[in-house]
Amino acid sequence: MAAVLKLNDVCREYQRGNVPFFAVNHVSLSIEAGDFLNIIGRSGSGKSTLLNIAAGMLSPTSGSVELDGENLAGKDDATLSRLRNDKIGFVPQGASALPNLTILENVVLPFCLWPHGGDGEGAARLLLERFGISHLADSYPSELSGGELRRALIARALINRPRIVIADEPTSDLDVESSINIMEAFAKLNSEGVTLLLVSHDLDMLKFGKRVCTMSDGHLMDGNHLTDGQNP
Amino acid sequence: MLGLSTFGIARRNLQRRPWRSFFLIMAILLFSFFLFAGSVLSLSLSRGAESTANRLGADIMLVPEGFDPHVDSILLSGKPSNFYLPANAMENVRNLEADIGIAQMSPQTFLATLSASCCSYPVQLVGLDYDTDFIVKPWMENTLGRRLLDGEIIVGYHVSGWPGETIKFFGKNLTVAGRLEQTGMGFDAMVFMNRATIAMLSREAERIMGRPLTNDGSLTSVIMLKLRPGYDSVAAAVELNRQLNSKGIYALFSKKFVNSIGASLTAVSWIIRGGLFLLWILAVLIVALIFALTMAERRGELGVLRALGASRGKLLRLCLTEAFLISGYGAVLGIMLGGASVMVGSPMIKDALRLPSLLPSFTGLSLLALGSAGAAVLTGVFAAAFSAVRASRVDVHEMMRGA
Repeated sequence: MAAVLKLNDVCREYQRGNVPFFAVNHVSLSIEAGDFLNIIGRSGSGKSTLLNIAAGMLSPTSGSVELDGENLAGKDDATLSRLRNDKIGFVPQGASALPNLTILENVVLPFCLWPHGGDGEGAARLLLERFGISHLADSYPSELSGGELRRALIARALINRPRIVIADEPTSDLDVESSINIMEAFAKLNSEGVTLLLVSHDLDMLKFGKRVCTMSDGHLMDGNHLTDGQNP
Repeated sequence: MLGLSTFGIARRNLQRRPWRSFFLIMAILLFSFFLFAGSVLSLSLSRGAESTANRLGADIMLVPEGFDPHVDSILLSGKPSNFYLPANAMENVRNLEADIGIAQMSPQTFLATLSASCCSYPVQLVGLDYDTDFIVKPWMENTLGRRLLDGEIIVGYHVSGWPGETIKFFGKNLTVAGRLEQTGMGFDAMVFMNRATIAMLSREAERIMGRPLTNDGSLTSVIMLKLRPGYDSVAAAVELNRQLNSKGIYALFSKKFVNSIGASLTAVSWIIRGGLFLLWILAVLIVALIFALTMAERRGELGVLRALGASRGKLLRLCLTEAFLISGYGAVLGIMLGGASVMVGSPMIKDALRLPSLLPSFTGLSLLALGSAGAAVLTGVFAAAFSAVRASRVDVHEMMRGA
């Protein structure tokens, strides 16, 4: 099966007090259509940097990233932005909705950033209904609970029917029940064919994924290396 | 559709941050208000001075000694005054005609009314000697197209009355033969007539008011002189003063009068320009500062937009559109407020500055309004541009740290 997202020997080097260090150190990764990969790791292990590289928001120092068979290297900002908009559904960490737009407007926003055919508003309403928050369409983000808002952000990530959904700590700051609801929603999406790449701290949520990788000191390893070497 | 264009998002951002928008709009509003009102004031004064220079066709004015401030009042504001030269003033001046280089001389008579059917305020009546006048007559005949007859008047721009109507002065009905265009000077509040008509009114005035107009019965308030080419008006005025001061006659040279208006006008114009420049700096600083703070505060929000697929260009357009909208609102409100203030405050400012003033035409005002609005919008966009460009250049992952 063709890889939706492929990272080939990717490195990202930074300077820390004039000493070079690798936030991402020779990482290779392939995510195929229908996959559900969880990446876990401690703070500072390089998870977010890897996610930013995978989402085309940060260019690697070396190595290459292919999204849907297209190499992201050397593309100008507008092309990369369009690719991000069309092919990646991104769920940032925290309550990352635009505070001045309603929930419906937040969900439809990626659809409006570039020209798309079809009924964006209708699709947004369907997504809100699907996530059980259609009654909050005209509310503002500050009026929603953490769980409701996170569901809205997932709906927003799906509005352009992306090739892959990338979520950064989607259950952070949520209570257990809300976290489970969110992960169940992701699992359901995956069962419908949506490809998922999640970064998480929450080891209890790993059971919802198909694969797990651990990030440690910039290296990516298959399996869960955080709980006594046991895979979930 | 929800209308989530760049314009739509920018508009929502402004609506949802009313206080921030209010302060930004106020900064631009103040700038556009003062730019428009200041430009109108400056141009009005300039036009007023030009008009004064054009209307004062005389090189020298002879007035009763001690009455020169009254002449200023009459010419600038039309404030009515009664004052008269000695009876033999014309003969005295005529004796010096050759020495001084006088080409033309014409007497004018001023008569102040306390009330009239036309106006709720006193009006200055001016009698012209039609045979010798070289100042107002060409201008009046241009308006009227014929000689002014006895019992007829021409009214200034601010005096009520239309051709064919009659106005009663000192119990006498006079027919309005024409109206003069606006001058921005005292002429606007004057009523012109020939010497025979004002002589008749003066007799009535004397009867009604119960006191003689002058001790010697003369009806000459000022004498306007035009010099032959090559004669210096300053030197002529000095010579006239030397010879006539003892006879109660004082010579004013018009250029000095116009020059003093010009000097005052230059000072006022520089004050207006300086104030506008300071205000421009202030507006740029306020808008730039508030925008910089806003961009820093909204770093995460802008990062989310980038993560969702907004390009740097789109982000820049969004920020500049917000600046454009704010500046547009501020500019339009400022111009409207400025227009209203100009209409209401112009006469007061004219009185306070004691300078002739002539409002620009409607087209001129419209062009000034458009120019002021454009300058205000450019100022707002320019002030916000630095923060907007900076915000759009930050890497997405850096921005996302603030989300």
